[in-house]
Amino acid sequence: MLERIAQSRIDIDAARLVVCNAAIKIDEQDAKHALKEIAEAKVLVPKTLLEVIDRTIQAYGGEGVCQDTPLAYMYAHGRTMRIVDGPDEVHLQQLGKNENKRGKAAKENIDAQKAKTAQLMKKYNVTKMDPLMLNRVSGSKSKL
Amino acid sequence: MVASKSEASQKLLVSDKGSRPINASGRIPVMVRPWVSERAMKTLDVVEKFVEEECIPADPVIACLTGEGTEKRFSAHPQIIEDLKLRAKELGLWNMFLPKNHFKEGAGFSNLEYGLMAEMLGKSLVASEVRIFVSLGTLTLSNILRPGHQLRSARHGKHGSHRQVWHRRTKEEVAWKPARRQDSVGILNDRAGRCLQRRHQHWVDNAQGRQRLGSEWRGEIKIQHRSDRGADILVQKWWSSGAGDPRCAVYITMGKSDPDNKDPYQQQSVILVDADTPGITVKRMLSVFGYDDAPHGHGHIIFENVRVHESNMVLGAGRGFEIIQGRLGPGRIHHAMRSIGAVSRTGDITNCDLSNSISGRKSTRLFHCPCERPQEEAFRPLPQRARCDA
Repeated sequence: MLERIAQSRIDIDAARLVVCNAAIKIDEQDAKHALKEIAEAKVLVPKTLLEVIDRTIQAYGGEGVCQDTPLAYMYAHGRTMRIVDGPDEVHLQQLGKNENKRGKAAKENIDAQKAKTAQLMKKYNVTKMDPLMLNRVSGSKSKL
Repeated sequence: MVASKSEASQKLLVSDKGSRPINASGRIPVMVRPWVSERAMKTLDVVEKFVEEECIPADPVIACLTGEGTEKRFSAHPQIIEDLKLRAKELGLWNMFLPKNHFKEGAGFSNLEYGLMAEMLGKSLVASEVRIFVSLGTLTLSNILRPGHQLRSARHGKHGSHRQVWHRRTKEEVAWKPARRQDSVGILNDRAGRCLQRRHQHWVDNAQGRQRLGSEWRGEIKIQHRSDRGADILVQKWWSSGAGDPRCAVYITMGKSDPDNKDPYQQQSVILVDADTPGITVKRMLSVFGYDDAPHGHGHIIFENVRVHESNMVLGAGRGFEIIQGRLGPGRIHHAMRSIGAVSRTGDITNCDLSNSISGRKSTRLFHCPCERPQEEAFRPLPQRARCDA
């Protein structure tokens, strides 16, 4: 139980920091410049919310799902958070697309690194080796 | 810092037209920016460039140069690492691990600033080593620096005779950065290796291991106030980081000096041991999921009645817990940020591949998975991004 409480604390605080960061980013310029931060918060927070409430419901057992605790209502309400103001998919799609724009630069970077590695291999006079290489070849004569 | 020379080198490095659209300082979360100085931002960009353009490409080369076989792998000192160290010094990237609120010997960065740099370093295996940025170094070196310790070896003859262990350094290194404290100069300039041992609990608490080893191995530093002021150490250690490297000159050893003390936090002490002291066996190296992490590695090391001068005790008997705990916090920030950096690199790799397959070029992945389907493609990088940032 203590572990669940600790995990929930971590999840909540991580989500909280992401939201605060988004808020500052909006304050600093405007929402347009904070697309990434906003999307992160919008996806992460409802997810965290549901996970933490779910843990709590589990701890309460049957009591957690009926009207005797507010947990069931919180869960139901929290679940809609994944849909209102743009469902997860929209934010994920947008964030994914924007992230992926780095792809070209990332590729150039990785290619440059590979080229540099090849150059260094030459400079330090080593050849790339796979220490597990066997190159064991089967017999040359067909048994048919 | 050696201002003019390193500044010139930094300028040269950063003014290269890089392919990355936003550099590291531009990616600092807006939330923490107020706590990052201009100087740290500048250094961060230099660190990023250095890691991306010089360290990451060197990693596979080092793996090749390290070779095969335990003996060889743990005594290999690929020249390329030394070259990179020189380069790091040239760029002024050295000794950045000492937080400014505690030490004057470091580069004067805060834990946050240092954390952001550690994030960059996490992308490469060699990056930390060449800048003595290793958390281990962080942890242990600052422990040594704090008390301004002088290392003595009791075996060296007469009462009171001692020698400093930091001798294993080259002239050029000493010249490069004169430290304020004479006895810390060697280690601040690298070359004097170090090894941290604080994992005796692994077997003291592990019933099975204890049985296997016999009850005489109680992980004790027996302080016997002899006429030669020697302290005897009888302990076996697992996971002694860095013990495999023959350049390791000092063992920072933690053990129980007062196992019967009522306060469990007063039972341990930290003592410095010259690696040449008789009675030490570096028995073997431990693998981590099959990897040996050579030449640094994780040693299984035995101290059998190793006698050192009692003044080698850091801070004083019974203060081991305090010493180790004191630096664990900053050390964890380092590890956490390195992990963030390492995991961000997966983003670079997948982004690179994904943008390839979206634009119709062939993916470099050998095995294709269902996430290759276009409608799902855009979903892949997010969990990484969001989790890195959370």
